[in-house]
Amino acid sequence: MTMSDVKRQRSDAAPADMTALSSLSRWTSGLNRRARTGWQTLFPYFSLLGIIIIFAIAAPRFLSFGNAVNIASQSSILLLIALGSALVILMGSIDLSVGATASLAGVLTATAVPSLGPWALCLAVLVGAGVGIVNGLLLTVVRIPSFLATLGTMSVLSGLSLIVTDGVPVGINDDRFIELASFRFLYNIPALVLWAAAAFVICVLLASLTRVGRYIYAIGGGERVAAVSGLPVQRYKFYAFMLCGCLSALGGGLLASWLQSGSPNGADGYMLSAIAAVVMGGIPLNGGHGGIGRTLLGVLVIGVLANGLNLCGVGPYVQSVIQGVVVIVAVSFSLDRSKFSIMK
Amino acid sequence: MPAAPAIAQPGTPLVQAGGVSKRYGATNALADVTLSLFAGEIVGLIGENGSGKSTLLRLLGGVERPDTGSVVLQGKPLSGTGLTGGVRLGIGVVFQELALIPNLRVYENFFLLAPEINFKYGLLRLKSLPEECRQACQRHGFECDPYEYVANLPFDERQMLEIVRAVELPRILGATCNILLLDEPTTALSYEGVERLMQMLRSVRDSGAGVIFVSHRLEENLALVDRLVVLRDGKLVGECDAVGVGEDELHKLMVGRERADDYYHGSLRATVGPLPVISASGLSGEGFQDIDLQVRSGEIVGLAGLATSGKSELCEALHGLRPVDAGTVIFRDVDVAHRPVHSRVALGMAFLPKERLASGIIESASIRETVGLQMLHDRFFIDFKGEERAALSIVDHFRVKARSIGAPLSSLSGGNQQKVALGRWLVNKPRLWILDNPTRGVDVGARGEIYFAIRRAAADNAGVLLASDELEELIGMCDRVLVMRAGKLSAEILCAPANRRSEDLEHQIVGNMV
Repeated sequence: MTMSDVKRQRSDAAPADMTALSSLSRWTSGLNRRARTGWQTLFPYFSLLGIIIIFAIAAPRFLSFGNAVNIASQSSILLLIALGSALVILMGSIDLSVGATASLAGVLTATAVPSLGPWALCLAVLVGAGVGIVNGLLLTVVRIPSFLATLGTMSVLSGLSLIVTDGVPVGINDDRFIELASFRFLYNIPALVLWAAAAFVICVLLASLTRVGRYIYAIGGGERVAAVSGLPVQRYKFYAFMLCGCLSALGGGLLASWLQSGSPNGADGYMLSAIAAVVMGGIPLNGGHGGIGRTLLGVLVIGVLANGLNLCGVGPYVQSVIQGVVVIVAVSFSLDRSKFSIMK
Repeated sequence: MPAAPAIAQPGTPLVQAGGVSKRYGATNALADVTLSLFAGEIVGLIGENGSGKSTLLRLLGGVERPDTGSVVLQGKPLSGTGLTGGVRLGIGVVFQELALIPNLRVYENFFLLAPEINFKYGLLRLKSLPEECRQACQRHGFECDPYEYVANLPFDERQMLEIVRAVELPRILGATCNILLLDEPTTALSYEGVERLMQMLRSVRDSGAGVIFVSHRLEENLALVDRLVVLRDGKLVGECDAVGVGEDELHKLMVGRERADDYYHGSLRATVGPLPVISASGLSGEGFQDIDLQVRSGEIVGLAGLATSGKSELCEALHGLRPVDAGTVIFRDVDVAHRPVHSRVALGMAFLPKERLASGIIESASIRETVGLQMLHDRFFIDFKGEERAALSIVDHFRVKARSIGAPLSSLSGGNQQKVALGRWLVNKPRLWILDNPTRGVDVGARGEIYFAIRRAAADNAGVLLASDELEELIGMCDRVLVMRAGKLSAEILCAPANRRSEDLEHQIVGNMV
């Protein structure tokens, strides 16, 4: 028997149990999501629905178009920062400096507005790219685990914000810059929401349709496998931190525009909310699976909750407690633990 | 071999598995197996990879419960006691992976499974524990410093320590019986280590313990054990006295058929081209020194050596996963010695690492995505149609059994996972395959198909570097075998067909390994 005979014979014997794949699932996630029970995936939807029902009953003004626009604007900054965090967490790393990056970008932008006008927002993105480069270099060249590297940069960036502003918020008077976030389009929807929506669509497409997304999933799923396969692992880690930095800084710049002032440490609180939103959306902290798209759900849970509690007149101290409890409950149901052998 | 000849055994068995079955997902790991272990005997448990040996051991050790059937320990049912519970009942288990904690001292490891005897009046018995540990080791002719950190012990001694611990700890805890279950304890041992271990096991048996010894090395089994039990595909297919049984007979029983002459598809041996695909000279790095090797197109070159010989390190360095300190690697006329992995892959290098789960495949990825990962080197947007075509052709080519190409690899059997890990490289049209133990943990059927795939790769004029711990595989597949010893090449042995008898070749290879 010659070689080609054998080849033919082998390829004739196609396995009968192979079926064509469903093309639907490919749009929802970059890498195949692990088989998980339905309720785990659905839980964030249910908790969002539950919260909405409770507030609809408790606060009459809650279910109105005007309030929906409010929620969308209040959630936009968090969505921008959470999208960046999601890319990094998908890769199995973490970026603790997102909040501090946003704060620094906010104050630098506010400081630069008098001379740059609306172009100050570009400065914000450049600041974010710079932070991403530093974080990326610490991770890939100095080889410090991302948790520690970004813990360090977080502290450095917070300090820088305070140094630049002397601890005092910087007011913004330039209307053109303020309109970057607050210009109202159709139905009174502010531009801020459109920025976040655009970033969301781009990130989801990036994750599901492109090499960047696929490589980020692969590095999160098995960094060693990715290296063996010849993926430029270190370069893509770098890219992910750059993207994360840019998105966070964009969030910070738009926050300054929305609030008409850049406040040092003003965006620091977004870091933990962003991580909570990402995990509620189904991306485990060790990365590798889950969709970027569902990060939106986590963001909305947090946004709707804050909005509803405000409408009900719940004070900020109690709000913090309730928010923490909801995050814990939501994560405890939506987290896929089948991959954890050790809890650390 | 006659079915289960009556072997006279006095008294009741120490431990008995009665009709036990165990499933893991889709695989039937064990089906209706009955096995008894008596005091004062060593039972050899043999079978191919995936035949259920380790599963049976875990059930007997009380680490897992059977789905059906029962495990009876001295007349009492044993149910999922776990390791610490098992120790109190007299069961000592030594698994394939070393279960010692390297940053703890020898005596701390020794008493780890029995926390209560570490204390007296609520205080650590700092004086008496090390002494007890030293004496326990001495009873087995094993001298070691109880205060030494386990990380500083040579590999052989760690394995000894595990065995001494498995035997002595139940006795110290006052267990009435003594059962020692060993899962492939010799795989990573040096040759003298194996000798010492065998002596130790004989004295353990003579002191009245029952021992079950799992190993796939037949000659070791025949030299050591009293009784042999053969498993195949989760079923018990034979049981016999170790005296007077031939290796060939056992082999047939393990594999289930006479070994076909062309198991290694020797008839498909490709013509070796004149020019080397890869040629390394003076290559040194961590774990290997001064390596000169060449692989020509169409040639299958074997790499033999002990686990510590540095052959895996060499494979990784050739693929660019480890830095090289000196030397050159000319791959397709380019010196890639200091190039990153991705530029080697782009030139047509394929690598199959030794640990499949840790570095061969991403379990949560599907077949389509695994294959697709290799197709993105020169394009930004994912080509879903192309991925699908490539995945289907690889599934077809390697006869991968899977629900669909969208199924996650975690749902595939080990053999099929390995076929995907190997097949995904085809999209890069490799010119050199570096394969580190490609049939490790793969069942017999898939093995044959992997050998076939390797032959086909060579027939497509690629070169193959095949590192393996199995000599038969090397002799069956390779045109020549390079032998490594302590990081250096110690011999080159030609295994052209009908060159010499395989026993002679095997002898020659082993002779250069140690």
